Amino acid sequence: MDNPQKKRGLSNLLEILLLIGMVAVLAVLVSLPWTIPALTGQHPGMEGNWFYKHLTVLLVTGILVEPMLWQARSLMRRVGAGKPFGAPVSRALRCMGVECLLLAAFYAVAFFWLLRVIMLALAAALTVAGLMLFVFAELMQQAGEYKKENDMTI
Amino acid sequence: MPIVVNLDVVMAKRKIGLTELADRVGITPANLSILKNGRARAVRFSTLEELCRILDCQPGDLLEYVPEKEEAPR
Repeated sequence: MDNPQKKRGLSNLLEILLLIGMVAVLAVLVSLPWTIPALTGQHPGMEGNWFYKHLTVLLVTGILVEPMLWQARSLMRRVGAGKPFGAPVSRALRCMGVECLLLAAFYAVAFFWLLRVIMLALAAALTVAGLMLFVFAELMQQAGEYKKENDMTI
Repeated sequence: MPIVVNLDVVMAKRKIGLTELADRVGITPANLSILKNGRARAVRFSTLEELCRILDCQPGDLLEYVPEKEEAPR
C-alpha cells in the first residue's frame, strides 16, 4: 500500500533540492562575467566576441530556468499539501511549458549565432518537453474536475 | 435540479439529528449536510443503502423526481 507520509517526504525533499537549484542558478548567473573567462579563456573584446555570445546564451538560459524552478517548487509544495490536481497546478505546468518553448526558440535562433549543433539538439528536446508539459497541464485540469465531481459524490 | 432530496423530512419523522445520522452512516456531518441541502452531484448506493437501513425507509422516500417546468410556447 502507498505511504502518504513517504510521498510527502519525497515532495518536501524535492522542494529543498529545487530551492538549492534556484540559489545555484542565481549564483552562477551573477558570477558569469568571471566564470566564462576562467572556463573558456574568452575575455571581453577578444576576436569573435565569444565572451558576449556565451554570456548572452547563459544569461537568457538562467533567466528562463529560474522561474521554471520556482514553478516546480510551488508544484512540489502543493503535492506535499495533498492537492496535486486542479487549476493552479495546470496553470503552473502551462507556464513551465511556455518557458520551455521560449528557451527552445532562443536556442534555435542562437544556433545560427554560435554554430553549435548542441543548440539544435537542446532546442528539439526543450520543444518536446514544453509540449509534454502542456499535455500534463491538461491532464491535471481533467483530474481536478474528476476529483471535484468525486468530492461532491456522497 | 430535478432530483429533490427529502432527507430532512425523513430525519424529522424519525427524530434523528444530522450529527448522529452522519456518525451512524459513516460519513462526515458536512457531507450529509451537502446531501440534505441538495448540493451533492451524486450519491453512492452504499450511502443510500445505509440511510435506508438506519432511517427504515425506501430510496423513494429520500429521493423524488420533480421535472423542471418547461417554458410555455408563445
